[in-house]
Amino acid sequence: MNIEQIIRTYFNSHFSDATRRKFAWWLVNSPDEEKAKETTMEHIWEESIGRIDMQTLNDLEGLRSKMKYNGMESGNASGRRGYWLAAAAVALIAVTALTTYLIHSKLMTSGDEFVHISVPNGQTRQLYLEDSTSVTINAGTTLIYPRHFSKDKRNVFLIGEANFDIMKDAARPFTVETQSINVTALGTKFDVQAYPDATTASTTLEEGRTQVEIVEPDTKTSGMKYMMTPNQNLTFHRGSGEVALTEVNAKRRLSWEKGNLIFEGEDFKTILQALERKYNVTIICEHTERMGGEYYVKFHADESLTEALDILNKLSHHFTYKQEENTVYITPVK
Amino acid sequence: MCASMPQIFLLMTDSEEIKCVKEFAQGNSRAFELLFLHYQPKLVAFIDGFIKDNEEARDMSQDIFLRLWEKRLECGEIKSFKAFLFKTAKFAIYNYFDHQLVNSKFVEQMLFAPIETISADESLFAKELQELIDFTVKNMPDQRRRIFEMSRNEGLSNDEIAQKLGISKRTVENHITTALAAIRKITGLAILLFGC
Repeated sequence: MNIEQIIRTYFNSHFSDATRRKFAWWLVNSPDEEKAKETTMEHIWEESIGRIDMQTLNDLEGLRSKMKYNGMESGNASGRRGYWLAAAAVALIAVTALTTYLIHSKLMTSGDEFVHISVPNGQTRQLYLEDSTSVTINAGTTLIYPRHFSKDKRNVFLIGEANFDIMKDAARPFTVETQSINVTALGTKFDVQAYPDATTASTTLEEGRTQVEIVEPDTKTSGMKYMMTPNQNLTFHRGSGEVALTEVNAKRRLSWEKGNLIFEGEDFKTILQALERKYNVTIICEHTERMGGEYYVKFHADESLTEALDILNKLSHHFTYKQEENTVYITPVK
Repeated sequence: MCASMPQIFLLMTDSEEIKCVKEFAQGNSRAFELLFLHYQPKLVAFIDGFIKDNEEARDMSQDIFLRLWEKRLECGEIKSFKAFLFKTAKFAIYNYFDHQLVNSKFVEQMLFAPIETISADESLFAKELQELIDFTVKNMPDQRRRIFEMSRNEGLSNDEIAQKLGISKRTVENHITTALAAIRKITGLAILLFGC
């Protein structure tokens, strides 16, 4: 083996402690080979691919809080107040905006002209695409689509949640791409939910037929395809790769369009995230896992945040909360 | 993995990246976070591949970015952020290995210990590595080599070697574990980053 092979073999393997130490020793202690080592490491560096995942976003959050701390400590905060305040705000918006930027810059390189629409928390928006497909975009969501669809396909990219009412066109399938799942349809009504901070991505079909492909890499279901029939929900669990197909009342489930929020067996954290988006607030709650898993609840369009929280509290009767401006602090009661 | 997969990769052109670095150096946190999203996953994957400890790799990456932010004023002149980050990562890996080797008293316990039951592939790999190590030791300056051979062939502890040669134990450790200064040659910014 030459130096390159040694380093590559090591990099791609999991060897015992003893072998790892041999490697460590060799790497830092033989100066004659330093140039070759550096070249190989640089090649590996060039080839290393990092994918942005939940962990990345958590790390970014951690970094933000440390940046904030250090900035304040050293008294450098003057003139940057605006930033620190913003950094303290919800991760979701910032991260969504950033990822949007990333995807946007990626799409831009393909030469087509793309439109991207970001709907802030607290709002929804309805729009028509070039082919008369109707899209209702939920709060805290970004949709990116080409101004003009190509001759053989209609692809859009979604970060968040939207309902689609697709104009029928057998020659041009319509695909909603997300980070975890792609949903393809010819003419149909369905919903896709893929928020970047959520542990699941899901789609619910109201009419027609869709095909769902799991595109999240490196899970056991990667690349698998599922055909859906009306009133089915497919939920993909990003951590485990599990896919669950269940029968649901699609009309009811998708009535967020009208401002309702409906949960059928979702966990506490998912509900809080939805409330954050609908009411444009930050909800801080530690130990959401203590609040249990399965909630069946409907919040009506005209209910206030306080009413929604009171309902939630009645269901779980396990927390107290207080609101300070746009932040709600929830404390679980033992 | 097919190319059309809608994964979130950050694609920045070189000129966008240079702009980003400039803005970050002026204190634009958005630009900094973009660089973070662009490079942190790559950095973690790279460091993890060497140190084989994902959590530690994340901590080290976090540390690198935090120091970058603290030293942002000096970062405006970075020509290639990617190349700079590589140098920093390499330094961090070497540094980590150094500490690990010192802490583990590797000479006595690990380096020359009989190989545990391992796969055929690994044993072949370990054997080749051992040959390279032997070669390196053979080509060491006299004092350093004598220390190694006492340690290896005579099984003496660092204390015993220190007594025998009339030097301090720390010197023995230095000879055995500290990599050569030539390897550690790092340029200005990395020194800033690591405060050494």
